[in-house]
Amino acid sequence: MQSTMSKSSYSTGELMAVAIARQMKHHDGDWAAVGAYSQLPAAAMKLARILYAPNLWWLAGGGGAINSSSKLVTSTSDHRVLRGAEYVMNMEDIVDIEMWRYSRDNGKIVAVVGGIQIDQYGSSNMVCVGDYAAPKVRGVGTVGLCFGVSFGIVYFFTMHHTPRIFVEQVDFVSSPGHTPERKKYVPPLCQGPQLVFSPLGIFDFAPATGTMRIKSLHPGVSVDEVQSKTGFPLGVPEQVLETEPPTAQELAVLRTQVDPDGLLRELRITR
Amino acid sequence: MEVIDAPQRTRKVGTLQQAAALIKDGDTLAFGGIHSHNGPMALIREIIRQGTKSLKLIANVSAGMPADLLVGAGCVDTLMVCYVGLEHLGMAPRYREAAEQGRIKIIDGDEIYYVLGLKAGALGLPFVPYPPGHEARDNPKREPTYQRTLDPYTGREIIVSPAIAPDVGIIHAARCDPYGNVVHLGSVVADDLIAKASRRTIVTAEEIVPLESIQADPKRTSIPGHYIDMVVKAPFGAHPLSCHGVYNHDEAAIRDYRDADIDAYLREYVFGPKDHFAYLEKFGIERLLNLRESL
Repeated sequence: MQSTMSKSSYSTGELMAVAIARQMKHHDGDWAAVGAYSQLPAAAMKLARILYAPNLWWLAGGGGAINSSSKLVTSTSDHRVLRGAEYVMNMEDIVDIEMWRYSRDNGKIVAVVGGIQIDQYGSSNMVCVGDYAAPKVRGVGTVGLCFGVSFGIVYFFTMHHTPRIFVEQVDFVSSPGHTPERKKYVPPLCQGPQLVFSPLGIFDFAPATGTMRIKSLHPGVSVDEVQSKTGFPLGVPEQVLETEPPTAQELAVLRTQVDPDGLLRELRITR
Repeated sequence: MEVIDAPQRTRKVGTLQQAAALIKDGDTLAFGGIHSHNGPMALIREIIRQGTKSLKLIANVSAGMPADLLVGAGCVDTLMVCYVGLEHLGMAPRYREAAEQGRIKIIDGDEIYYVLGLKAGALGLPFVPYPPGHEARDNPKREPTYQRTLDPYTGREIIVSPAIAPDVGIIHAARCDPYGNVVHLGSVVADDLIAKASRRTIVTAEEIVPLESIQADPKRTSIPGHYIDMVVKAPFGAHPLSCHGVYNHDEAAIRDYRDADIDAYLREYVFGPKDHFAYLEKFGIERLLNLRESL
């Protein structure tokens, strides 16, 4: 089903951007990285800096803009993103800071990233579907997911919630989730994936097993629906919370300051 | 202001044809920009026109149409991939097809492999050592150009990836003077590293500005001319990609490319037009000038 505004006064894209922005309350003063094809987290960062985390620093993808405050555009490396920025990083700057946790405190580097597959442990894949040597789908490549072992905290967002994206086990580990290898090799300061924001809900990882479970479902989404669209058994809490819809204030800021062109309402999000 | 410009100083200005001729069959070629921005497209079209083959292409950190077009034209033998795709416009179709059919060799890199590889290439360092943690990812396991070696200081086994030293680097920027001093009017991305790591670097620029304009604001210079071997004037030389600070990307033209039959596209936009201006004329003054948007 395509996301529309017919049933409610906000789109799924706006709901997701608001949910990610609220999470940034925990990161006031931290530094967050957003990648390519990332209108949702980019909008969330702009919204968060206005309403919830004035001291958040954020990077708009490989274009390198720090604290871009211009209206949302489709490409995160578009030159229009540089308007209202405070610094423009080159790639060397970006690698420097995204490996930064080796010399700094934990939790300072936050990433909001995606994948063509995300599995029950939060491993993410951007390289291939099927056998690596003879892939059914050749993906775009690992890009910045190599920093999944150096970011303090990883959040995922997806534009679709299907069993093809949420798989039992990824076909290629671009970034490891809560795997035995993470435990063995990755310094514990790098906590790995914490939350997943999908068009159906928000998910976290059970500390004991490292597996994905429901944190809240978006209004109108049932446990049966989300389970049927997920390729592995989701943990279900005793009481399933509903994601709090955007407030009038959040929507007003989003539509007047962050996204006046309404890109979030036109995103091709499937649920 | 009095400006001193030695008359015997060598100007590096050349043509697209001369620039493309510097790239030989089998060369390792790096190109600058990112996604739909600042790709040296006019030069890439000329490289294809000249029939250059068997390139080892170092795709930029997030490459789209420049990599896809060179692959689709059959110029590429090996492709170093950090990211190759069309961002919000979807997958890069010729790259995807060639990779899935095994017609090109893929090197599965990532941001560290690419950026620190170029850094090592620039410095003459033999390889890039990785901090602990990368053992948990698949790239170092599945991509054979990663190796392991002993860290002599700790005795621990560490992951390393190779230095990247391209034969030729090609970049596109808003301005350049005749001596190679480059001015980006937006993101530099890894263009500076490409210039430092490549044995030869060619810059195509929207305009060639006089030395005085560089001297008036030297802190504006994004890459000093000592890294640059040839300067080519190429107005709208990144089209259909953007040139940061000068014009936006032509999204409709990139969509048309994505959806086109590659041979028909090459005939119409690469082999058909006799030169870069003939290519631009296919789009027309109104469409091109309407893309202009400064920062």
